[in-house]
Amino acid sequence: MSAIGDFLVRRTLGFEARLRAWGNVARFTGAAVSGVFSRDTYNSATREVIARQIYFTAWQILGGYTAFAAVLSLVVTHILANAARDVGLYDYALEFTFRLLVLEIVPLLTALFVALRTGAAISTEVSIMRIRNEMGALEQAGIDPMKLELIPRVIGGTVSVLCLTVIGVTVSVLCAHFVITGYRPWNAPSADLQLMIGKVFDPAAMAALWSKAFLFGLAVTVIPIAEAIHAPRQVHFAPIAVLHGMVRLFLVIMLIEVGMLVIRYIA
Amino acid sequence: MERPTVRPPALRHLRLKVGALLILLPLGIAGLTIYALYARGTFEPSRALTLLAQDVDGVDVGMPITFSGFPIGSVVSMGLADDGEVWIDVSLKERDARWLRTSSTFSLVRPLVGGARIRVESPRLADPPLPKGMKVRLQVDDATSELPEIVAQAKSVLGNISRMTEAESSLNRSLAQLETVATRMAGNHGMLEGITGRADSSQKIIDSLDRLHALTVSLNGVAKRMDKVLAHTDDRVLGDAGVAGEARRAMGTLTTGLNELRGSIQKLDATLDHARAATADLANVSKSAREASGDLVALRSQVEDSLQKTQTLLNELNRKWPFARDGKVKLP
Repeated sequence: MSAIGDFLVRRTLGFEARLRAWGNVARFTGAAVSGVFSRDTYNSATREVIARQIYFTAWQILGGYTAFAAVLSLVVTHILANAARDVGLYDYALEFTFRLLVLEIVPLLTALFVALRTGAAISTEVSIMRIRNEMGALEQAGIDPMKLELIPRVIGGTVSVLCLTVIGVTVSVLCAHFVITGYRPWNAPSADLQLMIGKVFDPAAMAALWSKAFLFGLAVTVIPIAEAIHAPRQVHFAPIAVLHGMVRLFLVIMLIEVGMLVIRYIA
Repeated sequence: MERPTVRPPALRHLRLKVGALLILLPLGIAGLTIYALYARGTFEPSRALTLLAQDVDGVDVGMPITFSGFPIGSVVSMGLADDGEVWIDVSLKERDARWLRTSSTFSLVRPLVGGARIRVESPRLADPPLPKGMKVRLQVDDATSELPEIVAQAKSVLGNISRMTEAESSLNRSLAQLETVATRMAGNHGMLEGITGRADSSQKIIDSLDRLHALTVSLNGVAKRMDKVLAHTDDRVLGDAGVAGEARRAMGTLTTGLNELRGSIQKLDATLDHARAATADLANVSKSAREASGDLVALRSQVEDSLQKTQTLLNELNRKWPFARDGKVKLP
């Protein structure tokens, strides 16, 4: 009996902890978003942090990311084009590619790319800062660590994800056109690409794309930070905080993606 | 647990690089969005057109309207009118409105594969342009809705074909007969056997033809012989040695005979005159009478001889002249 009781207690506690963690994420997200749109967030010190964040998150990987987006687009478009040709729907290959690759895969992979690289780094950094009580020191110095350290990272990360998404989308559109026209885009009627862009990228699709990229950028920075600042201030909890943050981030990215698809195509 | 204050590494051209990214971001988003809107024709002037249809099953808002395969507009909205008909408001690019003529037809195309669309066809581009705000009827050209009917028709056609191709069908019988005829035609007597149907009949025809040929050849010979006979006759009758020539010669001889006769008669006249004179001169009768008697006998024999000659000549002429009715010759 007591074993079952213990099990239930443990399950309940675990569920409560998870709920609390989600609550923390939601609370921090709220604070961060209000901070992003607050005027006092922006001063020379925070601007420096934002710039460094953008530099490390977007600029450093720009070349590699562009190459990755190009290769991915070429491969995926090639597969889609061949499949479409096999079933006699080659006319629709560009549309398939735009809808699948440009609107879904590229933004999602961009978010995962940044999450793996920057999200994990931010989570670790904030965990160490907390364990070393740098936050407390800043607070004692009269500086809000939220404003100086955390919100600028959220802003920088979000801007970086948006930047990379713009580049990825542009590169994949051009690569898809390149593949669909049989690597001779100059031979294809120029109206084709324009028509397909006009057809697929309607205002609703554009709004969905940019809001999705914005949500991805927010999630990539907010969730690891929220997880880290609520972790116990012990060294051996730092990896657990990073792990939890990354798992939760992955979950949220997938939720955003699926939620957007539901809104766009089902609802 | 204080972290030693470490100055973060100085990043070269940090502001420039981040500034470039910060400029790229709004430019990229705005550029892509504006280009997408431009590609959709948002910035182009458009004109409205209303289509009327009985049934808009398969039509939805945003459906493209194509002319010669190029999209020139799209469906904006649609609804049910009071009389149960459906109106479809479409927006067409002003620049493509020149393809619309009063004779243009709008048809809803629902291909078996791919999305439905409204197709515009303008067979006569010389017609006056379609006025603005017109209401045009939409023809529903649905490949799938007529499918059951087509299948039923195809079934009946296939049934007919199978009836036609049955072993005992009239088509098969006709073909078999045709084959028989063709086989006969391919036989020894060719098309003739195909027509007569029996080898001996065609043989008879061939024999008849052969006989006809022989007859023609023999007639030809007859004609040649006839020719020859005619030529001969001609020669005999009209030639120098012919009947006519001989008759002519006989006539000449007769004339000579007659001349001789006339001469003899004149001589007789002279003799008679002489005898009258002798009678008058009785004195000299005894002597002269003797002489005259002798002369008279000679003369009489001469006349008789001439008459005999003439008679012979006339007989000869009558014998030779085939056209004479009687052999009488009137002597003068």
